[in-house]
Amino acid sequence: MTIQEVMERTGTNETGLVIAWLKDAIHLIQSTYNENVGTWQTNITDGVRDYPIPANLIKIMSISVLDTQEKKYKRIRRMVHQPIMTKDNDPE
Amino acid sequence: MSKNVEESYAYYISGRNIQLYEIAYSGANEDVTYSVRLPEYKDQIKLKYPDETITSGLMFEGTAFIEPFVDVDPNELSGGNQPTLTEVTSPNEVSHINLNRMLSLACVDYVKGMLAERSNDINKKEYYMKEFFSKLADSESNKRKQVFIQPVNPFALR
Repeated sequence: MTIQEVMERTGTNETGLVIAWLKDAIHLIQSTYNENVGTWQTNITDGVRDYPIPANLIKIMSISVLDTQEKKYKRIRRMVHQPIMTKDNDPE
Repeated sequence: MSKNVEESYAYYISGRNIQLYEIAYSGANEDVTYSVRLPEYKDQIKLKYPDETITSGLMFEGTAFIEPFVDVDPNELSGGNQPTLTEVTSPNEVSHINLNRMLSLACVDYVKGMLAERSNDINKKEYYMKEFFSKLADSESNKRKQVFIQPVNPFALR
């Protein structure tokens, strides 16, 4: 369906506003259901704890780490609570 | 070399970041191969920062804002094959929404709802938002075939 068709069905001629609302609707759809799923890879760096969530990611389905022995990505567990730190950085 | 990563890594979501921890059982992450662990070893679990560099080692999977607008209709086959979609970064009137027909109709309801909200007609907005979510549910249930089997009561009068 084209944006033109959406505008005709809704009886408006404000293209920019309709596109903005369509982006909102798509965002809401992606937030509700797994309509368009993607994957993002990033490097794990020795001694680095924080990794940014990809900017265009809407809903996290899983996070995996590469098992280099088996050459497979395996899902890892999510911690419900933040671990207690003895110092403010490395808990080791 | 990373191994048993499903046992030896865990993450915590902290705002826009994830905190990635390596779990060290009994102080050494190579001890995770045993199948039975006694309860007293729980005290030996420690968390530490990842202690090795893994290229493309972390993978996120999820829904995203991927190619929301494309140049051709994603719901029409091209010569019997899947259409080749190219993202339109600056969408205009002739761009297509990259959704199936049902979800595109849901988007029409969403826009109608927003127009109703702009004219302060909240009841109408609620109606269109209900239609929006109803079409979302329709689209999702179209992907699944579910059979409900209900036993008939043998003493029921028919």
